[in-house]
Amino acid sequence: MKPIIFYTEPQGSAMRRVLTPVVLTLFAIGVTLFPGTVGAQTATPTVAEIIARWEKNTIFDTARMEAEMVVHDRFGEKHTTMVIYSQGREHTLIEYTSREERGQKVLRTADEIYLYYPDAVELIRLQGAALRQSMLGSDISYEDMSGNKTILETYDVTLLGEDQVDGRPTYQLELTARERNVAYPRQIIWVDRERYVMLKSDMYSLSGRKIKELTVDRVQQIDGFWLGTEQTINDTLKSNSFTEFTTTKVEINARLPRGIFSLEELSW
Amino acid sequence: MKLITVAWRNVGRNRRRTALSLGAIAVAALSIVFLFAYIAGMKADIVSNLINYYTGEVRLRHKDFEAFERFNPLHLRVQDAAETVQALSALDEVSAVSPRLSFPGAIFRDEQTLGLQGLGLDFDRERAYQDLSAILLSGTLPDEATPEGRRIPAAVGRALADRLDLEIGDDFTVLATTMSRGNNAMTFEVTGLLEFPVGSLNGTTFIAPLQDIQRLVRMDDAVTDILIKSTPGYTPEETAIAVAAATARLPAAKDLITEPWTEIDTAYSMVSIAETVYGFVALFFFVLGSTVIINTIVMTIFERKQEIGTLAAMGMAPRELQRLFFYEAGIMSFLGSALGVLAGMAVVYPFSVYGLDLRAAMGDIDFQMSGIIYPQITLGSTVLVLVYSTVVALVAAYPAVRKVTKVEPVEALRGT
Repeated sequence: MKPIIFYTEPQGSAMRRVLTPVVLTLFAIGVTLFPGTVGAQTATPTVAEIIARWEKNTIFDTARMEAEMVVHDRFGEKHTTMVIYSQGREHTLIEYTSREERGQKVLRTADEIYLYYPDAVELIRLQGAALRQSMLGSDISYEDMSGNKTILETYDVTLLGEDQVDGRPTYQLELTARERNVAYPRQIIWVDRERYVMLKSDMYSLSGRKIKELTVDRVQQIDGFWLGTEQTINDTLKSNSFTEFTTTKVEINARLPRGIFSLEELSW
Repeated sequence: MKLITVAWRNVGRNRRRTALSLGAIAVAALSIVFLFAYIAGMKADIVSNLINYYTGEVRLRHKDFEAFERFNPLHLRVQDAAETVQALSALDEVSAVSPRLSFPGAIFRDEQTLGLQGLGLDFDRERAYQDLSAILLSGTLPDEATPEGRRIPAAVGRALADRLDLEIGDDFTVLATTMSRGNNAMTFEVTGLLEFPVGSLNGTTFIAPLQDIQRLVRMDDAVTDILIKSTPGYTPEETAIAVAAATARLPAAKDLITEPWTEIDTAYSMVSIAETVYGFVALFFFVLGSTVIINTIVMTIFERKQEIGTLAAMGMAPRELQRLFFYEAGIMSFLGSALGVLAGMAVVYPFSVYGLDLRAAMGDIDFQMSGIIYPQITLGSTVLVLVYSTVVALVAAYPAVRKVTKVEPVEALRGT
């Protein structure tokens, strides 16, 4: 899945960003390091400046997105559609809308992830190793959705230099985890220097093995925000498999139903 | 006097040494009788488990399922299961049909993910297929219970229930991958505990109504396997031919494969290979036992040198002397073998009734064999051991017997 980041055109200090739930988790760090305004910079910012600007513009008060996920594996393709609601950094709700999954929900609160299935009487609470479960057989795990700390709280970030990704100039950054309990102890990310969208990310395990790759295949400016609307994720530990994640509709500062992120509402 | 009578009397002349010789052969024969009885029990047990839980006498499934089984390929399925089962049930060669849907699932407890195996059964048809009540340890089978709310009744393997800390009346929610590789979860209520004969089934498996499992994994009227039992008088191969002909008319026939259990790679073929290996082990045992007879014959020839010289001087031909000692070896071999076989049968009998309990040693090993094995004495293997041990002992003793012809009568009478 792609890190989906929306940037507003600069309006004083009102630059804001939104991440899709998956991206929030998986790639929030990398993607949001560079909340930027087109042409706003003339010199390479320091990492601290980049992080500071990103932190300032990381989260939308609320957002509603529609998305489609296509999982490709040895047996063919699996299409899943969903609506994603998010509020700040800590709350995300995914409601699946495709025929087979209709009614199923994933709720991410500040500390936990809950799964709701209409055929089950109880909610499934994911924690620990259970978070490594694949989400609907995709290359995205629930672990990618977990964590609510800021990047600087979680990672040491180093600017490695400048690079090109598909002809676009990028900053290349290395993220090294400060803690052991993160999904990806090390990441290398490439961020578009002009649009401040992450175009590529490689994620590594503690042993140094690359375990996931993410590429942003399409970047669009929607309502003033730069958004990676098409992304491809490849879990390198799974053979013959990759996942495409496409955001089809975005509504920022959407009016969300009251209590939508509560456990009580989850099973309704 | 006949040589055989003389040989019989000679065998009794040194009873202690004869008893030692007989004992050596008898111990070897006893061991092999037990070994063969145990293997026969294992084979019968595996066949029973294969037919009831794994392959049936004949199995109908998607031709590619086995190749991709580790990926849980539920889409490689038998479609239109109800119609197919009905068509197969009408065949003369078929006595019972069991449609089944097997799937892996997961339960999340605290920070742990616990794997388990679900099995959807059509309980009406399953009762005709096998006696499920024989493995029901406590409670009721799922189709005899009506849990409250949306809970689905399920009977759980005893060891699985222990692992999940479940008792009758408790709930558990299983997350499964659907046929199209999505996810779904369902909450089950434990209505009964099962004691599967196979340890790995006991520690991983629960059973529930087929239509509920089909709903869980979104498979509509499809199953992973259809297991078939033959009408008595028909071999699995004959039934497989009839089943293949009947299913050839189905729209998805080209995707299906019909196999008799004898052609499916199972633990049975491993045990059959092991049986051949054990045949060589038996040969080794008997040769080892025969060394005592060889020793006895050599010592007898040495001790009875003067007697041999006398017999030769009185005109007994060397070949007759050979036959005399050969008869003595034969009597000891046969008696030792017969004693060993009888003792073996006596040892096997209580195990054949009460079983040999290896559950603690086997644990949850994924092998299609029960934790308790009932060794079986078969006429064929018993006669085989008797003949086999006698012949091996005689063949082993023959070179020693030939030494008797090398005794010179004059030197023997001189006592040199």
